[in-house]
Amino acid sequence: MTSHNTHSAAKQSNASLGLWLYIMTDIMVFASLFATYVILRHGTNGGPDASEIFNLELILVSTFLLLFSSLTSGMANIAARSGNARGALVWLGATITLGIGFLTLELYEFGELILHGHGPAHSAFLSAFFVLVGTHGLHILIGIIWAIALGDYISKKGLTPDGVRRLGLFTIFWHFLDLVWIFIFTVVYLLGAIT
Amino acid sequence: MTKHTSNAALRREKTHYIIGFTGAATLTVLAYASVTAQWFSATQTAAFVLVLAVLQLFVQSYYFLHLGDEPKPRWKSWSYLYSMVMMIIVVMGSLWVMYNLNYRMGMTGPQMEAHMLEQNKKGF
Repeated sequence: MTSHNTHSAAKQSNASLGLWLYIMTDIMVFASLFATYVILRHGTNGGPDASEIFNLELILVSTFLLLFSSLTSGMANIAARSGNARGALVWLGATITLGIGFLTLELYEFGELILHGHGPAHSAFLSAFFVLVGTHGLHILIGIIWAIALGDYISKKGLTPDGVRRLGLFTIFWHFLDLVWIFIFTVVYLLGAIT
Repeated sequence: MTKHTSNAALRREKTHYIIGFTGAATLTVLAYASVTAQWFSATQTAAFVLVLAVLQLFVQSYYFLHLGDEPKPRWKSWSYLYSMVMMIIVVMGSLWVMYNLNYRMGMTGPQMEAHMLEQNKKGF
């Protein structure tokens, strides 16, 4: 190993542990939001409850958009590590497109709810719902911006060690968002639909 | 370490992604169908989808995040496990406390008194 390789390996390992620590703290944020939601979900203030307002078909579609994007982000990472810059960019582009699709459906859902008078100010249940799902959506938005910046970097500078490293970190972040979504899908939407 | 990833390792990772995706998709569809088609009673369905969610958590953690697949010392796997434990404590603890609170607040004064006396007999 040359000194350059040793240095970049140490950078890789530090950065990856750093991102990991961030994810650990983010898990705690989502844990408290989930706890809040589960406790407040019956506090409907005379308004609708979870079984009356959610469109499950739409949610299944967005769940699959996100799952697919998790797969494509992994493929982008693999392509980058095998030195295939074009492949990495195509897979990254697919990830961005799927991510935007997911976010569009979420905004559509929020818009519909608010238009029907089921906005976050209506009840404790809806406040908790908008905060939990909206926080996840905000993470997705940040992920999309990160992915676009990465795509720009790779298309300009090629697969530098830094580029490959950053793509690896992005992939971990993106997988984590899909993990959180499994529980939003299950706890908010599926359990909400059971009467 | 990017330069040192062998083709065999990348191929293995690709296979992992395909397995992980197929598993996650199957679990998602199963959970969705069990709710919409009402295969079981409400309580059973709730337990079923929660078990499927935990299964999917394991599938994605192993096949997508490659946890449990890293060389020692396994910083990632252990810190991940630790935050999972903390998450369960936060969520279950909050639920437990609030459920208990609601339960007790839902009682009338005389009922509460009788209940506390009953608890005292148990030595609490």
